[in-house]
Amino acid sequence: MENVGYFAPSDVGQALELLAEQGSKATVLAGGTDLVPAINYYSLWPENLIFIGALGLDYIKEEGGKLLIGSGATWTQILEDPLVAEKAPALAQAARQGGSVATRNAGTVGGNLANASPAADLTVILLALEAEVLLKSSAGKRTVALKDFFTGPGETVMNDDELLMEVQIPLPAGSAAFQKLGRRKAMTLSVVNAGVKLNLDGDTCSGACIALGAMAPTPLRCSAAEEMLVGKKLDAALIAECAAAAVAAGSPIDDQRASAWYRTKAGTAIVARALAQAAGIGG
Amino acid sequence: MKKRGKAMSLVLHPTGNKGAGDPSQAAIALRPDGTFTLIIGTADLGQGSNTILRQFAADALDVPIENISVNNQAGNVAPICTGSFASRVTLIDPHAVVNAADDLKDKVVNWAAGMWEVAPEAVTWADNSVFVEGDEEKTMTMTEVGEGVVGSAELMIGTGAWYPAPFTEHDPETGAMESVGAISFGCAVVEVEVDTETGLIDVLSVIQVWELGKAVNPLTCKQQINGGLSVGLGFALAESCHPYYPDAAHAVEHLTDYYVPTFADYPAEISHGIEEVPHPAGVKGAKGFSEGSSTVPISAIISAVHDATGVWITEVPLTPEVVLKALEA
Repeated sequence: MENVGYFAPSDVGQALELLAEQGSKATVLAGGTDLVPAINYYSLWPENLIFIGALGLDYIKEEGGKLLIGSGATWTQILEDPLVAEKAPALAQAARQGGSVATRNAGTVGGNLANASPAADLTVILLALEAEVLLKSSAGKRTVALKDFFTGPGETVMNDDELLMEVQIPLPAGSAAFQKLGRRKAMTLSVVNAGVKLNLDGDTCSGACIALGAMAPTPLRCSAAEEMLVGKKLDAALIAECAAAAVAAGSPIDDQRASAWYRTKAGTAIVARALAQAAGIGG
Repeated sequence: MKKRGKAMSLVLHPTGNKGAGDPSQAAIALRPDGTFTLIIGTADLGQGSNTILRQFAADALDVPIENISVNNQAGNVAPICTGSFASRVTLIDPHAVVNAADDLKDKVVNWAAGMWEVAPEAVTWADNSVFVEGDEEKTMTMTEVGEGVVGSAELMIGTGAWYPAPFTEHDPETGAMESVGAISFGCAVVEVEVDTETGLIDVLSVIQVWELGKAVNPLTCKQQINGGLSVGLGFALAESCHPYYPDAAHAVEHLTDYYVPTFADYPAEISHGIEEVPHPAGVKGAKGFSEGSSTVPISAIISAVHDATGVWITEVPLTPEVVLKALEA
């Protein structure tokens, strides 16, 4: 890696100007936990790195009926934050299961989203929580729902001059749960993961969001499966049927971590467990 | 659903390649301050060979272990050790160390006898000193010996080697061969929990018991069992370069996808048992064992999965995928 330009703007305005000037020649660096391995494995040769860790984007706060998380907030911040624990505990649950202590200390929520890995852990629970992202450029800003954010592996709707500023989670965040299946108990990428959010009216479901990771080119919302639950009383049989429908929305592949066959089988179990956990059914 | 099972496995673990000759060498130098440097070519990759060979040297020289330092990094002059493999070092190397100690003692005793003008047989080496029994004039601490040796233009290095047996060929008629120096006996008892919906195996507890001749250092023996278990867990459950073998697709290129167990994967309960039956081929009855602590849990895990699920899986690693396929079959 030679002759790489390195910029460390100290405010958002400067950062957006740099992005506008450099366009596709700029690579945004936050925690570096995805970027640095990509450079080390020679799959990425950045021309210019723009470090955004000094922009003050590491806040977590509640405002206007939403939980607002700055894109620079780390996994560790999220899993330790009392507001997250109170308002969106499933997000903390997902943060706790990502990477190692070192990567959680460095990696950021914005990076997890912008990297657009189909298997990303924070991403899948945020998708279930119906989160939106605030994007800014020197020309303006816009808000995009996460379900419309991902366009392919490593690809999003973000333009080259846009910076992911903030994640916005609508509150209340329902009864949510995250389940992850890796190849070992820690320091493992997800073979399949699932996030669910249920709105419960007594024991009847009045709304459901089901998100699946590592089952398609992008993190997936499973709308057909979601609709199966609305207006129904949740029980084990319905959950099993719904989990199968959710996984049927995927198009998994074989890779180093697991086969498509395995992802489908085990993914069904994972979705069912997330649903049961969110519904408070079983152990 | 989660199902639990228990099983035991037994292993005979060969220690030392008798059939290959299997030589080791050692040297011990007396330094001017009266301490000693044990010079060996033995690679200590964490198994504790530096520790136990230092123990053997201190014991053979009858000096405090603090007075022995170890140098196993002088590659251009080091004595030969065939290698840290075949669980051979504990069985073979101590012989070379003891021989080097005896050689050094002979040299020092001869030198002292010359200084004192007495027969070497009259000089005793004991308690970190040399002396002539009953003659208070003729006694030197090892520090005095170290200084004196330098002053009389001597260099005291004892050398020793050990060669258990010449290289042996297979018997052309029967194929028989006396191939191993000794055998250690191991046993593992494990309890597992199998998640029948995901294929994940949780190893809940492991007991290992080893008959290892003589536990030269009981603490490092236990640590070896712990480390061996970690290797065995990876072997049994996770580590694979070709997850779709014999298909070479999706070969693993990075440690990101090569699953060495973490502490989180380690069983919550581990216990060790050590049994000592001195082996005639080892110094003080010691023989190696610890590579076996990585193999013996594997078959116990496979059997425990059978106990839990009723299904025999005959390939390793038992990845979640392998387990789930077997349960479906």
